[in-house]
Amino acid sequence: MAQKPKGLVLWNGKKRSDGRGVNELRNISMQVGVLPQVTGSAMVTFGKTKVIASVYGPKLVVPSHLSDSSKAIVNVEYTMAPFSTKERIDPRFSRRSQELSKILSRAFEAAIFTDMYPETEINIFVQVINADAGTRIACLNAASLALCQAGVEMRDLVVGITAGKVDGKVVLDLDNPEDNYGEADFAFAMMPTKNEIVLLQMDGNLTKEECDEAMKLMKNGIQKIYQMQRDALLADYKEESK
Amino acid sequence: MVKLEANLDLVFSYSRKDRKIDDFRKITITCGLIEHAEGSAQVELGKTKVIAGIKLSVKEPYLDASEEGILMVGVTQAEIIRHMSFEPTRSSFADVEVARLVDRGLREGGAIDVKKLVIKPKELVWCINIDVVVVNNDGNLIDACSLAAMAALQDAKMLKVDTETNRVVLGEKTKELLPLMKIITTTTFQKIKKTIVLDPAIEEESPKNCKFTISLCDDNNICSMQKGGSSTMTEDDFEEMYKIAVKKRKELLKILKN
Repeated sequence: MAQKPKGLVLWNGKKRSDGRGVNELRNISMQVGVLPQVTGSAMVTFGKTKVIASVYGPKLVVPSHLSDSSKAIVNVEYTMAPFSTKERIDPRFSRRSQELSKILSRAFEAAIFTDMYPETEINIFVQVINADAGTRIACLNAASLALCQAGVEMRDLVVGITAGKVDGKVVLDLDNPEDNYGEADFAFAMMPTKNEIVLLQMDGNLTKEECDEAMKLMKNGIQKIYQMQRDALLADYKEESK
Repeated sequence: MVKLEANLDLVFSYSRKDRKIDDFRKITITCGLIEHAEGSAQVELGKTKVIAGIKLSVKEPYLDASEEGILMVGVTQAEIIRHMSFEPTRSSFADVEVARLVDRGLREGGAIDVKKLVIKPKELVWCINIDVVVVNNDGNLIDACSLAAMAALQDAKMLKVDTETNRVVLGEKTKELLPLMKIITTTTFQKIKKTIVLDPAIEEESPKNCKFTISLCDDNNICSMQKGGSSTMTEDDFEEMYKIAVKKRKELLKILKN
């Protein structure tokens, strides 16, 4: 964890450094069908974080010996554009992207009815255009929308959110300074109507009580984002039927 | 389908025939077995066997953490058992996952006081490289590797640095220990259908199950958590696993102290 610059107050007792309250989300926008040539695509922004997801498939696996005769293979590829962070990042597949790709593909494997598409693969590409904390969660929400637009059958929409601890206070949806200088960050995703956790990652230092509090905040946040995802999908269908 | 499930239960009951669902297998730790390493430990968890070695070097600090030393963890599977990788098509991911989990557990939990690793502020800091080699994989590499890393950190001795050339004097260990702050314990669970088991053996590990790792530091605070596997879990599962993790922390601390 990086050193906190002197004079930076993340929590002053009432408000966070960007003026939000404890359980306030950043400005979130979701748009489905941003790439017209692709069967499923979506763009999601969380504050300054901006990501695009696209879905290809289900299609036959090439080479075919890698296919699974009982279910579909779900691949997620998480990439960050070289210009997405303050310092240019190497566009090659890093250890971090490798881990995030796998974590995301596992989350969707749990949500998709993979046994309905035997011998096929579903490829999900998520690209971070601008990174400002919470990229994995933004990617997850975008991929969930893109899968839905592509018509892949899922148990539920997958909805994610982050929380963390800044200056000793548990808060929802971290922004960049909070992510860098906070004491903990917690990424969490659920299938909201089924109440099942599909992604959970936490780093930092939390007591059990703080952890429970963070989970409570995030479950509330997830309901809000779930509604946003549904609205975004509805808006797309309305557009299409015009 | 019925046949398959029956089989799974058989394997499960066979591998757990002499321990409860919240028992570790026998843990043996041997410290200081590698002379050339600044610190080392071998951990045997049942038949799983890993060796951790620590090497120290000096480096320029990272720009965003100019007053802190560097801690790096790498996990590699020994080539001799390459065939045992449980995801043969992408064998490297298993290594990356284990390495990232051990690394994050130690770093985020503050196992080492990185502020004490500064030699010259903004110019020169110590870099602690922990490399874990998996010699035999019989399941639960995460717990074995983090235990080995922790034991090796306890065993390691500082080196001297030549302040004129800014280089390490190789091979001359001092008696000074590393600036350890906290002891991190890691426990990994596997949810097989609806049963939660601690310390899964290789027969119990499957990418289809839900895997969950919790690292605890002082006061039973949580310093790292991760869900793996392609199945789901609920909050009640989390409560149960936290309870077991707290209970097992005491046992692991006792083993690490000896």
